[in-house]
Amino acid sequence: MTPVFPLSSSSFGDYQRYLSALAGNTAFEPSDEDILAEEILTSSAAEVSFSSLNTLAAGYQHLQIRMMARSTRSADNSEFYLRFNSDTGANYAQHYMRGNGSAMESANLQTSGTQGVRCYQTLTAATSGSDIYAASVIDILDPFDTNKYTTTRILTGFTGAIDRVLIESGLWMDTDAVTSITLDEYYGSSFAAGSRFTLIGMK
Amino acid sequence: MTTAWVPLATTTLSSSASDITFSSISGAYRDLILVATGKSTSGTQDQGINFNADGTAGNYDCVIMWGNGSTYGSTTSTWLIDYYGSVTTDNNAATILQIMDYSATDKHKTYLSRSNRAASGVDAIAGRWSNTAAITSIKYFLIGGTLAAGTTVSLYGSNRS
Repeated sequence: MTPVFPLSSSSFGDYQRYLSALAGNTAFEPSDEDILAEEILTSSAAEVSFSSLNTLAAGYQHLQIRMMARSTRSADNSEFYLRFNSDTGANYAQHYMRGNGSAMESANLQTSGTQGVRCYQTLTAATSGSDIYAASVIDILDPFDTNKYTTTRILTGFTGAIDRVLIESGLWMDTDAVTSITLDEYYGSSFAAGSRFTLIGMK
Repeated sequence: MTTAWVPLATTTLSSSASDITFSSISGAYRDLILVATGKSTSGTQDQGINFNADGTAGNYDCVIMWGNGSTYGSTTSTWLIDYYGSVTTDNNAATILQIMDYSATDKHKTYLSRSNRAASGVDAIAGRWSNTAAITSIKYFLIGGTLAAGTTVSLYGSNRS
């Protein structure tokens, strides 16, 4: 590559003059997957939100939430609503397939969980040790495409007081571009301190 | 903006080996992903994982959901990362293991595995290493066999924000 000389140079000679200060530098190419935001709770919280996605996630095709989380609920597990653009209407659908260590089952949660994508049995809770968290990887597909409803898929699981592994599908029946995502503890409890949520953008 | 995934290491065996171990793993990342396309030297073999050279089965437990084309079920085990997605001499199985918050010292290590072998079945697994130590080494092995030449295992790290 031709070396770049400062404009103060007194001997340009035959060298090309560039107006751009970036001339001669390697072009910056953004990566295909980037960390957009991350929240690690220092105290319990009923909700976790990612907002301003129209700017924060501009240029990305898909989103992924990676999380390690537990609930403060006094039970052996819990779950949360995944909600888009603060829409609490009956505009969601979901199914799951679950293994519990001895049997499998599948169900449609649409009739009982219409205030968001009901992310079923995705959290450990009080009866599991305080250092046991459930892992989830949530893919949110084409959330900014205004010709499609937004679909989600989840791989989640934990072993603790009980054992669970699930594959789940979800749907937000709205073609609006997603501008915010809220995770809302389903039973009115909270996400426990130490829970971690990472938002990734994919091109 | 922070790049999400960083390739940390890839090993392809040129000859058979008892295991592939990634050691001295930096704690600088948030999660790890291990991608394995394994081969066995003989027969069908299940894949296993150990962390920090902890070979005590009682420190691992997992819950498995599987389907094999005609039936399905769920069971539990220790350090398995497949069930019907086991490996053969033909290198036709693929396993992706997500190891979450691997360097946190206040959490047991929970991991998620998806393994497939089209001729056999498909699995989803959630597992846990009952230890709060940061993971600094990962040993990938076959439960009852030997890894064959051609086995490839890659390790990726996800950056922190």
